[in-house]
Amino acid sequence: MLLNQTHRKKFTFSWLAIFYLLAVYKWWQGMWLYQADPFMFVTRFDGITWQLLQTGFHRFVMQQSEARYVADVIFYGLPLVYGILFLRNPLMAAKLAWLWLVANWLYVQLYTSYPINSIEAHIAWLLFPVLFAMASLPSYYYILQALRYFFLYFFVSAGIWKLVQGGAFYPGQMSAILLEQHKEWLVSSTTYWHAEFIYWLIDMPLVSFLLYWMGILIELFFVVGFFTKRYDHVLIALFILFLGFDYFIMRIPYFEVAPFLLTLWHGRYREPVNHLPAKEQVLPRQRPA
Amino acid sequence: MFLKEVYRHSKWMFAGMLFFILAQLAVNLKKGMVFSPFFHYGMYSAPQQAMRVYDVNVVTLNGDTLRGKDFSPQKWDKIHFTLQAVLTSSCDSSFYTWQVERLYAKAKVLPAPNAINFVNEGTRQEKMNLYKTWLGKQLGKPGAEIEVHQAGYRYHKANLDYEGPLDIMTQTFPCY
Repeated sequence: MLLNQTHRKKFTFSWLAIFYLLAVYKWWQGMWLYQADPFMFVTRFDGITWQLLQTGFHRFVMQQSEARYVADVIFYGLPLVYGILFLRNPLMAAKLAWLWLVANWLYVQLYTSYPINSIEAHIAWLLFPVLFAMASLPSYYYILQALRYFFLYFFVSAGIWKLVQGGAFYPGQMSAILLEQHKEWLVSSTTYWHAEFIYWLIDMPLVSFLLYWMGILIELFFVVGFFTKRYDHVLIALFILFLGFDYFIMRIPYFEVAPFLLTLWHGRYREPVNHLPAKEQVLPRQRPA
Repeated sequence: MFLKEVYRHSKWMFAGMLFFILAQLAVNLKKGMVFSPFFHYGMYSAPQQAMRVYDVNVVTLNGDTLRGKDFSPQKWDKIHFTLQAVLTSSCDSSFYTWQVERLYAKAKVLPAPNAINFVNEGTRQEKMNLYKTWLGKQLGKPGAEIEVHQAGYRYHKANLDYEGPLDIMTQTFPCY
């Protein structure tokens, strides 16, 4: 089936649904910037982040609680404004998406410059506004495919790193990772069933190493997506499984990459043949009579 | 091929994608510094050996130890990431000197960096006091008595056994 405006609409609102589900979840977990209330920052080895740090903006936001509220309002409000505008005036919405891109970049850089979360987990918020900024359907199609390829790369490269760096060939790897990852949690919750399960995994290096390899195989399996879209539904299932295991075993909530799931779901549509000029690429129900 | 189709569609888009691919490859091959949005996704890739003794941070609130099972992963991470950031901030100055200043000097076109934007001010004790105040607020108990200790634990037969106390205020980290 060819990609059309109805698919685009479905994609946009599915994406917004994921974004706001995560927003509620993060609010519940005290992860909004105003809730994090940072008092110090971290200087990571990132040349782009340094440019922001150089301005001193992160120190200003750290000292001004109002600035943190404003940052949250912009970050969590802009997608809603985009969604409303998308229904009324898609071309204007596409223009707004460029502003959204800049706002997201600033917010994510700022948010992750405090010891709250890693920037890698926020890659979806950095990249997706580019897709929403595409006014014409063919451009939208190509950026959607590019994001799908990026997501495949994201997983495959994680698997390759484990082979290249050697973690995949060290049998005690997963036990050591679990100990390092959970030491404070384990020591403080010794008799808790979940901690006992993690202790069991640590004590069974072969089982935990098999789990590590299962992760590697899942990651490497994503290479299939570069050659065919036939197994994208399998990749979606593996992705959800991966997120679940990451949460349960590593206690890493990596849910913020979830929007990429939509690129697999919608990636199956073929290139639209109707190369209308951008101004004519409006939603069907708003097409002029 | 996808890129060929993109080229036919828009040369600007093609150039953008090509730049993205090359930059991502360069960051991967170089392995060191990253440039958002070009990251390494190699966490937990290097062989990791179990340590003889683990330095474990223990936080108490009004005399009671905070237990991991009472917190969601996010909330627990927030407590411990921030504490870890307090401890490792002793490396801020050397990181600034050996990496930030050096690389800015190398880049030449960029204005000289300002240390205050890259280095958290204050001694470890001052930052630890800020941490305790912050944590009290985060836990909904501002002004509560919060203590942070560190102890050595040795892994033995599916358990981490207490080895002895460590001095958290003098703990050192391998800096850059």
